[in-house]
Amino acid sequence: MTFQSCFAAMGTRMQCVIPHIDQEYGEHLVQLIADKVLQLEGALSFYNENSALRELNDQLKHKKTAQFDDVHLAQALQLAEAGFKSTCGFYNAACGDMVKKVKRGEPAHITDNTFSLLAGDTVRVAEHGIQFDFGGLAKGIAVDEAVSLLREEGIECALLSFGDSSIFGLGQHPHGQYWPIAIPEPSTHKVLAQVHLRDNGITLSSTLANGRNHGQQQHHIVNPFTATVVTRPLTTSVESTSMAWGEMLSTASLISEVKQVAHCVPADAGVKGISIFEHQHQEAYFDFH
Amino acid sequence: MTFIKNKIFQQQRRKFLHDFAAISGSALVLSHAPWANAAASENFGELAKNGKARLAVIGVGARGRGLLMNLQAVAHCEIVAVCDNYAPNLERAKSIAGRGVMATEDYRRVLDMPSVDGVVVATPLHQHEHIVIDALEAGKHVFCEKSMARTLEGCRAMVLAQQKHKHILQIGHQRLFNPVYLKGLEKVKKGELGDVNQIRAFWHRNSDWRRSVPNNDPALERKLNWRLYKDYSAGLMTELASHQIQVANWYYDALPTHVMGSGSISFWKDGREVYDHVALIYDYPEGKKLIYDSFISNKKYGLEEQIMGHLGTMEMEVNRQYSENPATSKEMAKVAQDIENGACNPIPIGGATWRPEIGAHEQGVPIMQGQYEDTLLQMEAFAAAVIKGKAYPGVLREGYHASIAALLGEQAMDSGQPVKWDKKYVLAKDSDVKTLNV
Repeated sequence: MTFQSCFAAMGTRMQCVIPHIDQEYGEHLVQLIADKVLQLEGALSFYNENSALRELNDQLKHKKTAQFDDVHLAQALQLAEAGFKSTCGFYNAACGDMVKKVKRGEPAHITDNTFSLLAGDTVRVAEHGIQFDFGGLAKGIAVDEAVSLLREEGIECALLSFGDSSIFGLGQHPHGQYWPIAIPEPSTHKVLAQVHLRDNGITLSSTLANGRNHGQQQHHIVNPFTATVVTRPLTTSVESTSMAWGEMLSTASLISEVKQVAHCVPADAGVKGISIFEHQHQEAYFDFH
Repeated sequence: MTFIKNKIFQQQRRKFLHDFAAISGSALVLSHAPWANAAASENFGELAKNGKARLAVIGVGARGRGLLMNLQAVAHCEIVAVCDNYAPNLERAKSIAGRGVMATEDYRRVLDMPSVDGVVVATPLHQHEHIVIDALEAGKHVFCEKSMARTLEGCRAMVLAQQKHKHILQIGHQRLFNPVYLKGLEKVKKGELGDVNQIRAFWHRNSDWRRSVPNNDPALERKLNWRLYKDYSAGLMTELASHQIQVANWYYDALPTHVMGSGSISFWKDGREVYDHVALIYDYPEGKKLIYDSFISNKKYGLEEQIMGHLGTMEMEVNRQYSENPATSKEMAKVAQDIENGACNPIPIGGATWRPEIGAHEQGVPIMQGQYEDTLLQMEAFAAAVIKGKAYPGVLREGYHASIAALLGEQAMDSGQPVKWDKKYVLAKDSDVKTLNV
């Protein structure tokens, strides 16, 4: 049979389709995934006052170095640092405070948001008051962990969708060479792009993803260099084997309008391609095959 | 009753009995609703061939006439008398019952009739106790509308009378015979909702809850609007809440240890004595709670019993079940379906990060499909029990405890103090009558 399941995490839903397993084993697998994802959520949540991230941010309110001892936080910070360097700062997890202020319409100063890891358990930031917020990176890490768990369990094919914006095709479709994804254009539902997933995933980000309020588009992507929202109607999709990198690069692509990021994607990010759309028209595609 | 003969109704009826039998056979339901299995195992069609239960209806106001019409649809029942001491009610009942049915204003005349096997009591609440006890003493089986009696001791006296005379005493809680509630119970016992720690129930209306009094005759005010006066009724508690408290007791499979509450007359300040606004907390063992409220100056949310576990919620009145986890999207569900069908179609997913709907907007899924006439089945069951001279197990216990809980709630509100459930009002589960703490 084909097992399917869905659970809530990180403010959205994780959906799984796993062919060729029975209900009981499927439930066991999803419980393993849910436990791991909820562990990550507990460590990396910006809003949970007991999270390791919150503890780190509390330390950074008063000093420029802070220590941590949470393995998930360490993993996220290492990835965030690599993403920060690779994207020349267009993805910056240390802009949490600025992003919140900009999105609320409050004055936000352009600050030096650079940071670095001094050792496996210490982070140094350039200024007091820096706050980390991993945003989609936590979601990407969660999908990567879920895929690892399934592989460890010997699962050869599955489709995972986290919040509909991070989709991973493990192995191939039982009746095809790949998982054929047809990304719909949100307003017309016409096919915006077709992607073939086979042991890789796709991450989508859009400046239009935050809906409308009283007829006005709500913007949520903030440029860390200018402390302003990105208003150009862009959508990016990143095909990659690492969903964590997919999340960082899709955000950075929106802010840099792809071109700058496309030339500095590290080889170990597992990126196969980056597309950028303005409304429903593909503006550019960068092939990394 | 033309609707009973209606083809659509008969189709629904067959489905109802089929569903009812299927659910009642479940081991989980059997242990928590033994009456349902007993009712499901009846062959009502065959029963009528071996004689009919000869019943009288005492109290034929709106509710009594509704029961009368349901009884007319029961093949193994014959209505032999109707009774009411309010002439207009009696006249209406006579016209429904038809010729050959004895009509009287004095219930004792009904009890004196050897041709009456059992009585259905739907009088004002304060009259239940003495009519039911008189009926049991007269050798009649009794179906009594909820709540049982106006006082705690009245409820207890009715059970003791049943114990003494060994006749059937069934209390009217039609949800006990409703497949949705039985299916819901099965799901709770299976653990589909996880650990259920709170039941929230409410009954809201927006009306003065008055019945019109002919010519505004003051002499008839208390007779017709008995629900508004404390001598006759505990108001919202005995007339509405007892239904829903019964569901909480049943689903928790426990009785409250305490109740605290607050009652007020906050809107209908028209001389009534009972609260038009009640809010209560019933404490059950292990910290579980029933949060209850009822008032009659807003009806937006109507009535509901919300069974809330750590994995999901059920809303019984609207027949909906909700998961704490979101439902699989239709796109992902289709992927699974395609795989089962050997197809590999493009999968239309991908876009902005999905955000959950807030609970109030979630649609949920039906607990089970169907439309059910639980009152009719309840009357069929009573008539069958009368023919066999054997009560359906567990029904009296449910009705008794719901009545006690409603009256304890009234006490808590009147006193402003938490009220404990005295053990002497506990009817043990093993038997309906023999283990009542006296």
